[in-house]
Amino acid sequence: MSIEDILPETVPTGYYLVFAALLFAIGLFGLISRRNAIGMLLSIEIMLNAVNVNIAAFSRSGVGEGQVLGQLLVVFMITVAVAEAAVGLAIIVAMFKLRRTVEADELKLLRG
Amino acid sequence: METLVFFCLAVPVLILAAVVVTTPHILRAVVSLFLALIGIGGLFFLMRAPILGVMQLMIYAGGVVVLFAFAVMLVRRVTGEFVRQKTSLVGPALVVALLFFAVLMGIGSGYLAGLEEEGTLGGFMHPTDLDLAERVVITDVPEEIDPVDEFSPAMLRDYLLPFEIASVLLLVAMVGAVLIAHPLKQKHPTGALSPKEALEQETADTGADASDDEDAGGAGP
Repeated sequence: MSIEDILPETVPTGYYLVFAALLFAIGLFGLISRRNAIGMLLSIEIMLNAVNVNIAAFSRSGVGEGQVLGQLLVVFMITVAVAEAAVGLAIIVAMFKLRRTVEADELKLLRG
Repeated sequence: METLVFFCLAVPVLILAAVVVTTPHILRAVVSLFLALIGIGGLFFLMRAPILGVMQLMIYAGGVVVLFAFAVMLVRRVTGEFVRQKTSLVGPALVVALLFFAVLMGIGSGYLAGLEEEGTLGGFMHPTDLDLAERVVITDVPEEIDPVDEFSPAMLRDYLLPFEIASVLLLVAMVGAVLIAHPLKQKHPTGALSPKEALEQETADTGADASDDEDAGGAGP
């Protein structure tokens, strides 16, 4: 029993695009308004997920192998996002060890 | 029916995402992100992309969120205080986000209106629309394939090089993360200052104006 048997019709791609745009806007808002470095990374993860939803929604329109390639792109994006999260969190932990803070505004070592 | 399922997933995800970016409790933000990622995984299943759904649940909900939770606890444990998040620039951030959304919607609707005028593709694209196939002259129409069946051949045969590059990237990221987060104990062999000593000097130099900066930073709306 596949999902087509339970849910015959599909959701229009535009719904996914509006959803992804909203999600990206929420992440953008968080990235700008957060002063905590971990909170900023969380916002970036939201934005990356919005992009993933967008690509996956578009890949449904593909013909033949196009569907597979869209999903493959999303998988590579997840890989890169995970690497980014790991390195970002390591930087935050190191920053906390050094400076005892995770506030992005208090990092002014490079300020001229 | 499926649209109903879509809204049942999408609306909670958006609410949870809003919680992630607004709540002052950072652990609550992490848990909200966890639930939102599960919801997005459900959306992937709804898009007939079960591989993406499983990867989303395994890698994001299972891995990244745990990583975040550990980072929060590592940062919290030393101070012993509950990490609360400050927000500033809420007004400008809201304006930028809304502007971004409006521009995106404007581009999208303008694009679709242009397509409608041409009479080639009305409304949003849809996988079952045959308009797309009519527009593009396809000499040999590929047969219907199951993306799940075709996924691993595509990843492990046709696109093996990107796959290997991704694995090297993950290895580099892992080694780099360990190196960055490693305890800074070793002395610099060249006699240069270790980062900690450099920091101590820097704070000793600029210790006077540090309090002023803190006041300025906390004065956000």
